[in-house]
Amino acid sequence: MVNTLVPNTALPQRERRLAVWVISIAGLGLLASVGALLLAASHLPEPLASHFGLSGKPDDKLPLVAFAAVLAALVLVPAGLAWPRAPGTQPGSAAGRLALVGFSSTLSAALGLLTVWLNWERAVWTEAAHFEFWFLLPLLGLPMATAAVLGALGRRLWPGSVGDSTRGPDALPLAPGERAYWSGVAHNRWFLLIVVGMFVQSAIFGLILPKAHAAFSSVLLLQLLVLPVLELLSRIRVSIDERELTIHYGHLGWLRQRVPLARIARATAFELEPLSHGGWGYRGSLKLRGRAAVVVRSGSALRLELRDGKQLCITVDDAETGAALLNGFVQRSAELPSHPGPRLVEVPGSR
Amino acid sequence: MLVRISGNDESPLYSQIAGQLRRAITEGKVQAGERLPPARELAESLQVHMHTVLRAYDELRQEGLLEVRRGRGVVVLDSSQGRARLIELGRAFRLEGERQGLELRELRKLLGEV
Repeated sequence: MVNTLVPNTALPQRERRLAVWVISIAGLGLLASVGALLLAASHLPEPLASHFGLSGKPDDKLPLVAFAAVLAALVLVPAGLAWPRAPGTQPGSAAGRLALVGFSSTLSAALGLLTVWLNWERAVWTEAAHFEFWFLLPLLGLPMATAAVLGALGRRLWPGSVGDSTRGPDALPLAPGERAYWSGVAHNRWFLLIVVGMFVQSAIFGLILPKAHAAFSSVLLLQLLVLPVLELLSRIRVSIDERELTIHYGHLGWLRQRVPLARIARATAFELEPLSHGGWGYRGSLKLRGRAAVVVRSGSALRLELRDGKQLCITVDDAETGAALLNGFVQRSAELPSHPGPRLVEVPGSR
Repeated sequence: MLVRISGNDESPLYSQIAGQLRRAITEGKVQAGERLPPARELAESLQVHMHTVLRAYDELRQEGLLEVRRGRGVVVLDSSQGRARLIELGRAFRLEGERQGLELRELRKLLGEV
């Protein structure tokens, strides 16, 4: 099968146009955060209150220039990550890149403006206005809303991926009576390291501080919730047979997700870039958004194009073989609707 | 790792499975330290009896390719690749010898002369 999408998506013009968007959004973000901070400098204490405790009281300070640098880095680092690369080198969707740069730029702007407001006309940083708990709502809500809008815009303006490199999805020829099975894994040792590290840390805190502070307990509780999720994503295994594709999560593989073969229209192998799929973990939703990705690491991944137009991407080693086998099964079931073929005869004790 | 078996093939199913696994290990499709899928899963997927898969695993274990660890399942061994490759080559050598009508004794002699 020939993939007709790739030549179109690889046009440098697309990447150039996306780069202009990334620069513009990051520029607006810098203007709103660093620009506003510098403009307001004469009305702010030096150093200014930059961090607030749980009670809302300012508990840390930064010189204005340092705070401006933090705000600038908050925009520039993600913008660098989102910068479109040459086709074939680092594939990714425009939507993911725009969403990332939109999120960070808005966050930087919101953080800058809020800090200016809290410090406005104060003589010293300790007198800064209190950080109310509800401030978190716009502080995180606005960036998320921007990311959602820009993501949707990116999907519309740049359909498909930017610089995607889909590998040949040739079908593995299968004889009528032949049985086949494929299994591949994907690891993320960092996740495992974090799991082990957090476990050790929790154990130490649990032993040393039996009557832990309430805040500590909530952190430990949070860790207990995060640990299993990270473990499940530190190793996945994908198995394929004639009936279905199964994703086994975690080292024990107890949590499984099945995709019946009848649902699959075509499979391809490609190099997955986590950024373009919204990061690591289980991203998106097949039911709600029609697109999902199981991202354990970057690199070799399987893309399932489902019969209902939905798409599921799974990072897994040697995805090419897995895709070929899936396509082989799909092709054979199309040729022989009345499959399964002849049962294999087993002779007990045969040598 | 890819495993394909066929009822039309003359060699028994367990040896077909063992051959495919051997190849996957030799080609590095399964890394050392990696676990093989549970025998039950492989058996269900290939629609063969679990003992057939266990027999294939056992053959590879005897060749030093695999290790059965309690609670961890079947693990691919580190030192296995070189030996697995030799066994694969030896098999091809023997098959070609048989095709040319040579007996095992003659093949051994030939191997010594190489």
